Amino acid sequence: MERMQPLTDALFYVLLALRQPKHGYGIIQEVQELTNGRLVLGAGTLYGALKMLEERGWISLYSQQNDSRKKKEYLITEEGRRAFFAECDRLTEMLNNSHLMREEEAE
Amino acid sequence: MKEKLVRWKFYFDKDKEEQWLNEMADKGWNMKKNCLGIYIFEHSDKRQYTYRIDILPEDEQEKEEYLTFLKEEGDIEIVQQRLFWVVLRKLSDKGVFELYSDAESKKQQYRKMEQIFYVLSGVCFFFMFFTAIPAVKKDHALIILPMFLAVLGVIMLKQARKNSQKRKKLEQCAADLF
Repeated sequence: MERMQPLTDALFYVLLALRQPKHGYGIIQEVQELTNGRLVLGAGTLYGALKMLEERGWISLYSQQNDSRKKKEYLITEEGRRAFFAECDRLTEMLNNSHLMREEEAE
Repeated sequence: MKEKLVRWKFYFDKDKEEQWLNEMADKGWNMKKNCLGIYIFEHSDKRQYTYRIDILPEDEQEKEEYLTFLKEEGDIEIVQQRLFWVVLRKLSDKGVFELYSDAESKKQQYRKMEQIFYVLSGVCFFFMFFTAIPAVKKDHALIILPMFLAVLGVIMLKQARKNSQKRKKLEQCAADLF
């Protein structure tokens, strides 16, 4: 099985935000809300992240035929979803093992 | 009639230039234009803007895409474009203005700047040799130009190394900066 690199917080949340079609501003807003203000994505960071995710095939442009002036919206792809859940598995594994530390403290 | 202020300064270090622009903005002076070291400021009563400086992609289309993205998604104003750099600003009451919110993208920005300075220093040294030949062969007084280019080239190298150091410092940090 391929060894995947862990996702940064920014990438994790961008993928999550793109479970539904969104444009940049919407992503920044949602991520800020979901993290209670902990993660405020910089526009430069987001631009780079979207470019990279698109290159990897984890997100794609969600086109709408009507208004050409409408801002670009992105949406997660199947591959992106797989990568997201693989990351969740990794995080779950770590969290599940974390109880050991608490047991150590309790003694 | 808006009050104006003119300053003459030379900056190669983007962080220092940003810091200065924001210090001026704190005092109510917002940079409107700049060219060849001449900065023109406009006055406002309170701290209106936050300034940031960024590197633009080389490719013309990508450059346009990036600037459009910043304008539309980030609510960011483009103040001045020059060569590869762009001076941006955002109204302070629209929130904190940070272009790069994590270490990874900050490192990339420093890497880009490092590369640009290496290229610029290469150009300086190339022209230094080019202009040194007639100076040596014909008129020794002409040596002043290659000397100037040599100094400029060294300054560029220094800036490249500065950016490389800043990047490496970020790599040593255990946690990401948000």
